[in-house]
Amino acid sequence: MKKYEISDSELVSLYINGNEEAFKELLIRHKNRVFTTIHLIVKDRYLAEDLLQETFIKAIKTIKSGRYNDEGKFLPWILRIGHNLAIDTFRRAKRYPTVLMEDGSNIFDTLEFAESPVEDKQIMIDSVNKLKGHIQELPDSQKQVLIMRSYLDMSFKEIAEATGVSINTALGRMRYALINLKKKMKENNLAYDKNNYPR
Amino acid sequence: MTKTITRDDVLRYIYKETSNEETLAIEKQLLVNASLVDFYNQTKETIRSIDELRLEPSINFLNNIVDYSGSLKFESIS
Repeated sequence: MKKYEISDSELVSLYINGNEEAFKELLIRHKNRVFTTIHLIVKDRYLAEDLLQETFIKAIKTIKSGRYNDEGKFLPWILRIGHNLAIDTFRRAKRYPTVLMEDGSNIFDTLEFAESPVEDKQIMIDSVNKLKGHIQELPDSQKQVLIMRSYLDMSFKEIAEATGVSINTALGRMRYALINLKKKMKENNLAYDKNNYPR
Repeated sequence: MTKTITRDDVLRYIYKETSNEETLAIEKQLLVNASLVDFYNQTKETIRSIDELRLEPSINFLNNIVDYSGSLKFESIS
């Protein structure tokens, strides 16, 4: 997790005291994490953007009405709002997000490549697409746990409850997902290189 | 009797889901158990790759949210 000079908690306090720039900083800081989480559940970029907007509007209303009380944990709080909205969308559509990854080709088309040279961008896109492909090839049960833990920030206990399995089963699925991914990455010589991934 | 540390325990440790007591026991094992250390390193590396993946929403939506916030007065919502 990134360390910032001004904490989320301080930014929320500034915002409560009328500093709109503080909210803008919170938005810039966390928009991609919240957006990625929502996008991986609803599998549609435009719907994900609508839900992202709805998520932050809910947060604004809560804070500006004086009802915000999350003990300084802004990110988990807003992630949970986004997650719940995305899950509700699935429920309304009478679908359960068993398979959370998208098969479409443009899911990773707007990564933060703006400041990178063209050749670096291509390397990043290739790496990201390969990793995305490897995740998609995982068995559904492993893929589901991996996404819930990595992107929705759910604990293994929460995942176990949400998926109706024991904690040990959830842990086992995650472990096999990571082992399988690592194997595939190795086969494709896709070792982790922080320079290959967007900040 | 000392509890055997499993890979699932290490996984919970990586995600900071272990108790203080478990954390100490796992860290102790990681000093002497090469197989667990190997699992720890490989798993951390894979998780780092996954965690670095980020999607970005369009700028228009961000502007809409910022504009909405600016238009709303504090404590004006019931």
